[in-house]
Amino acid sequence: MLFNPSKPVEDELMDSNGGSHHHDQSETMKWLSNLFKKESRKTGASLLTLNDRLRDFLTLLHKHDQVLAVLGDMEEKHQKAEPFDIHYIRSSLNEIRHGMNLIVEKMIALGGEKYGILRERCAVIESEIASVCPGAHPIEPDEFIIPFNQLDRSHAPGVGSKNAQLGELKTKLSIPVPEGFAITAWAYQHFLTVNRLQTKIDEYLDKVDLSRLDELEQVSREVQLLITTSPVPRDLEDAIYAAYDDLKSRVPLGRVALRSSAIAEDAFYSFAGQYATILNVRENHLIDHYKDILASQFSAKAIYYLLGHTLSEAEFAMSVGCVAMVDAAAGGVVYTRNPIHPDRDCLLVHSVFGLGKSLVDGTLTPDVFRIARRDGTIEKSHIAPKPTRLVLKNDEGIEEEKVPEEKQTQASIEPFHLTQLVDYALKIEAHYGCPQDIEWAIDREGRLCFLQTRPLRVIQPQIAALDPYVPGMKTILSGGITVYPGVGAGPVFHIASTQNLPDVPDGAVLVAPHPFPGLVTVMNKINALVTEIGGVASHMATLAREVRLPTLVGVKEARQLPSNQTVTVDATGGCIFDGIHPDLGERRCMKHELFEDTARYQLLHQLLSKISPLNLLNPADEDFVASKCLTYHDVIRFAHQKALEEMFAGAQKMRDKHRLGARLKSDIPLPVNIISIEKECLDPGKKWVEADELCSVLMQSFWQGIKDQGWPSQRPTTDVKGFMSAVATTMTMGSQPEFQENSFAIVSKEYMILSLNLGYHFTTIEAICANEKDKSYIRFQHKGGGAPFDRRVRRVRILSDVFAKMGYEYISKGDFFEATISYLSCRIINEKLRLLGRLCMLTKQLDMALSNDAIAEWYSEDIIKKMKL
Amino acid sequence: MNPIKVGDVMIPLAHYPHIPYWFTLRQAMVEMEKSEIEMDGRKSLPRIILVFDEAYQLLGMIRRRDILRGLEPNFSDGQSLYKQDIASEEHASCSEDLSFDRIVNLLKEHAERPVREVMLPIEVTVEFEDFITNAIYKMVENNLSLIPVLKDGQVVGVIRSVDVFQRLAKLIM
Repeated sequence: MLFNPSKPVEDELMDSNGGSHHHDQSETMKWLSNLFKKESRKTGASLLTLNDRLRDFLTLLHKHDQVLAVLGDMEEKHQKAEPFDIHYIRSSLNEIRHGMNLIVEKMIALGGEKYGILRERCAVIESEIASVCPGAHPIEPDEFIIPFNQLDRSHAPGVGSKNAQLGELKTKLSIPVPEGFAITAWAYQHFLTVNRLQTKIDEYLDKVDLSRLDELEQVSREVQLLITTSPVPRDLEDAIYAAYDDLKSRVPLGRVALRSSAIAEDAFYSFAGQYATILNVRENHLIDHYKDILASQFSAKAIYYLLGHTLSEAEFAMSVGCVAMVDAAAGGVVYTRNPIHPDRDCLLVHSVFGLGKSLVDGTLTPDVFRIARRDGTIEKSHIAPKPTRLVLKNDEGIEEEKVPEEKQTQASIEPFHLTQLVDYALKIEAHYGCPQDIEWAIDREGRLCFLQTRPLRVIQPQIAALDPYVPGMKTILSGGITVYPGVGAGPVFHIASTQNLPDVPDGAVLVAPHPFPGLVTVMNKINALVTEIGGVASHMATLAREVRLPTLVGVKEARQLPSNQTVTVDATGGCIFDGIHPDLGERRCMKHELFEDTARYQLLHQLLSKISPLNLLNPADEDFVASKCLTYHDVIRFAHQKALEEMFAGAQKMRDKHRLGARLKSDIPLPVNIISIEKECLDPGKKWVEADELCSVLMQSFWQGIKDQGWPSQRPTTDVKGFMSAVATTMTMGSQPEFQENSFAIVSKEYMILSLNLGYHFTTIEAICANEKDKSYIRFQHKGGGAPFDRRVRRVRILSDVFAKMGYEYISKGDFFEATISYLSCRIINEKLRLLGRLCMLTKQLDMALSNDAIAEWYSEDIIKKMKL
Repeated sequence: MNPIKVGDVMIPLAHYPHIPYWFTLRQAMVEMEKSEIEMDGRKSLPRIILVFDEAYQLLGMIRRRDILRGLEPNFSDGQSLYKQDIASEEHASCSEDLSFDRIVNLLKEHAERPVREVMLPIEVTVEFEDFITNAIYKMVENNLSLIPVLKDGQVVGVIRSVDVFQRLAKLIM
C-alpha cells in the first residue's frame, strides 16, 4: 500500500460513491477532512476545495501505482512466457479498468473538463480491448440444434468450444467422433427469455458477496432451482426430440450422453470437469438433464470464477452436446506433449478399462505410456493395477464393476490402438498448432473415436540455475536480481557511458554501472548483461526481456569483474562463474514457442498491445497531450504528470495559501509549506514546524541535504559601496514573480512529493520508501530556468551526468529533465534524497553561469567531485 | 561613412559570461578561464564577468584584479600576504605558516568567498543608440574596459574597450 500500510487509502471510500460525504471513511481521510473543515470556517471555501483536491490527487496516485503494478506483472508474464490462466487475465484486466476509471475521474476533478477527452480515449481503448476478448459478442440468433457434421471451430461462439471442436475434427480432419448434435447457446437464450429468467438471475448474482461461501452456495442453489423448475419452451423441446429421434435411428445403442459446452470454455479456461456431463441418458429424462447441465454453470465454484473474472457479461451461456453414447471397452486421454516438460519429444497416453470418466475424475490410476513423437515407439509403459471399471447400466446411467482378476494387471490398450491413437493425436495437434489434451474411447468392437480436444496446459519450464558446485568452477560473484533468465558467457566488457557503445565487442558479457537507455543498441550482440544498480521495472529491463537477453541487475560488486576475462553469467541463479560453465550449451536460452501458441497467450499478447505500449514518453514533447493517448499506459502516464502539475498549480493560485499546512522552520530562506497526510506527522493546529518534528524521514533527509550544502550567500545590502539599484535586463523574467512563491510538500511516513521553487525553474521530487523494495522509488523532474535556453540546456546536461553517476535512469529534452530510480531499500532512498537536497543547492540558478560547454563540463566534474559520487 | 554606434560593437548579454552574486570567486575564475569570446573572428578570454541577482537583474561586475584582491589572505596584523617575500631566507627560517603549500591552501579557502564581497557596482552605462565616441569618452574618463549597454532602460549587452579599439584601428591604420 502506497501511503500508509496500517491505514490504506480506502478504494471504496473514493470509488463509486464519489463525492465527499461518506460514512465509512478511513481514519486518515476522516482526520484530513476534519482538518480542512476546521480551517475552512476561518478561511472560506478555498481550503475546502483543497481538501477535495488533495483527496483526488492521492487517489489518483494510488491507482496509478496499482495499475502500473498490474501492468508490469502482465508484461512480465508475457515476456517470460510464464504460464497463467484466463482468470489471471480477467482479474488483471478488471483491476486495470477499475483503476483507469478512477484515474480519469480524478483527473477531471483535479483539472476540469479539459481532461474529459481522456474519457473518450479510454472508451476507444476499451472498445479495442473488447474486440479481442472472448465472449465479446452477444449471442447471435441461430438454430436451436446443429448436427456435428455441420459444425467446425468457427461455430464456437454459438455452440461452445467442446461441440465446435468435435465438429472440426469430423468435418475438417475426418477423425472418428461419435454422432451427435449441439443444442446451441441461442436455445439457452430462448429458454431464459421465455421464462423471463435473465433478470431474476442477474438480481441474484448482483447481490452475491463473493467472499462469503455460504452466501455463494445459497445463491447457487436458488439460481439452479430457478433453472431446473422452469419449463423448456415447447418449440425447443420439439426440436431437441426431433434431433434425438434422428440420432437414435442412426446409432446402434440408441443411448446418448449430454455434455456441457460452455461458450468460452477451453479456449481460455481450464475449467476441466467444472460443468456437468451426464452419461447414458434415457429418452424420458432428456429434457430434465438438459436443464441440469444448464444449471451446472451456476455452481458456487463457477459463479465465483465467472463473477470474479468476467471480461464481458455474455459469458454465462451454455450450449449442450448430445452425443451418441460410446460403450467403451477402454478410454482415456492423450497429451501430445509432456505438460511438465513440454520440450521433450514425447506424447503421453493415459488409459483405463471401461469409460474414461474414472480416469478424468482421478478415481482410478491409469496405465501410462510414453511414446516418441518422432516415430511412435513406446519408450516406456507403466501398467497400473485396475481393479474396477465404469460401464453403462442397462436402463440408464453408469455403474462400477469389478475387472476380472487376470485382466487387472494387463494393459488397457493394445499396441496397435496406441499407434492409431498417436497418429490421430499428432494430426490433431498439427491442425491446431499447439499441444492438445484429447479424450478418446475404444468401443467393444475395437473402434477408436475421439470425444474432445482442447489446448494442453503446459507448465513452462523455468531454466534451472546452474549447479554452482561443479568441480574446478569458481564462482566470482553471486547475488543480483533476475531481469531475464538464462545463461550467457563471454569476455567481460565494462561500459561507462553511451560514448563507449561502439566499442562493445560481439559476444561480450557487458557490465554497466547502471541501466542507461543506449544499452539497447548493443543488446543483440552481447551474450549477457550485468549492472550494479537496477530493478526489473526499468526501461532497460523491459527491453532486455524483449530481446530475451540473460540479464542480471543489482550485482553490487560487478565493477570488480576483470576486463576481458571470460565468465559465465547465470542470470537465473544469480551467479557469475569464472570461465565457461560446462552446462552452458543446452540451457542457453528458454524455449517459448509451446506456450506462445496457446490461445491464452495470444489473448494476453493482444490485450497488452492495447494497454501497455507507452507512446507519451516525454512531458516536454508537443505530443504530450490527452488526444495522443493510445493505450492505458499513455493515459496513466499523462494523468500522473498532469495531476502533479494541476495539484501544484492549483495550490499556487489559491488565496489564503499562507494558511495551508505548516511552514517549515529553518535558517534556510526557502519557504516550504508542509501538508501532512497523517495526523501524527503534523499537528493540524501548527503554523510552524521543525524538520525534526516531521515523521516524514524522506522530507528530513532531503532537507538535511539542503542544510549540508548550505544556502548560497545572502543578498548584498544595497548601501554597500554606493551600489546603484540593480538594472533590469532583457533576460529578466522579473514580471513573473513565481520564484518568490512558496514551495510545497505533501508528506506521509512513506511518501513525499515536493514542488520546489528555486528561481524560475521547477523541481518536483516524488519519493516512496516502502518495506517492499519493489515499491520504493525516487522521481526527479526539472524544467525551466531563468537563463537563455542554451544555458538551461547545459544545466540539464549537467543533471544528466550527475544523475547517471548516481544510478538513475533519465530522459531529457531541451530544458526538461526527468530521472527515476527504484528498487532500493529505505536507507538508500534516504541517502539519495540527501544527495538530491545538496544537488538542488549546487545547481540553483547555475544555468546563468553556463555560457559555454567547457564551463558546463567543469561543473559536471566539480559537482560529482563535491558530492563524492 | 556612417557613424559607428554602440549597438554595432556591443556583445549581446546572452553571449557574455555572467554569474549570480552568491557564486564564489572560484566559480568566477572558472567562468573566466573556460569562456572564449569571439568578436569579428578573434577570440579572447573575458577579463570581466557580470554579476546578477536571482531576478536576473544586473548588480555589478568583477574583474581579474578584483578576484586576485579577494583571494589575498591577510595576516592578523593587516599585512598583505602578497607583499611577503616567501623566497627570502628570513622567511624560510622563521615560519612554517608561510610554506607555499600553506599559501595555496589559504588562497583556496578565500576562493570560496562570494563574488558579491569583491564585485564592483555598475556606475556607468551607455545607450544602445549612442555613438561609439560616447563610449570611448566614458571608458577613458572612468578608466573602464567594459561598460553595460542599455536599451529602453534595460541592459542588453556590453561594450568592451578591446572591441572599440579594434574598430578604431581599422579606421586609422
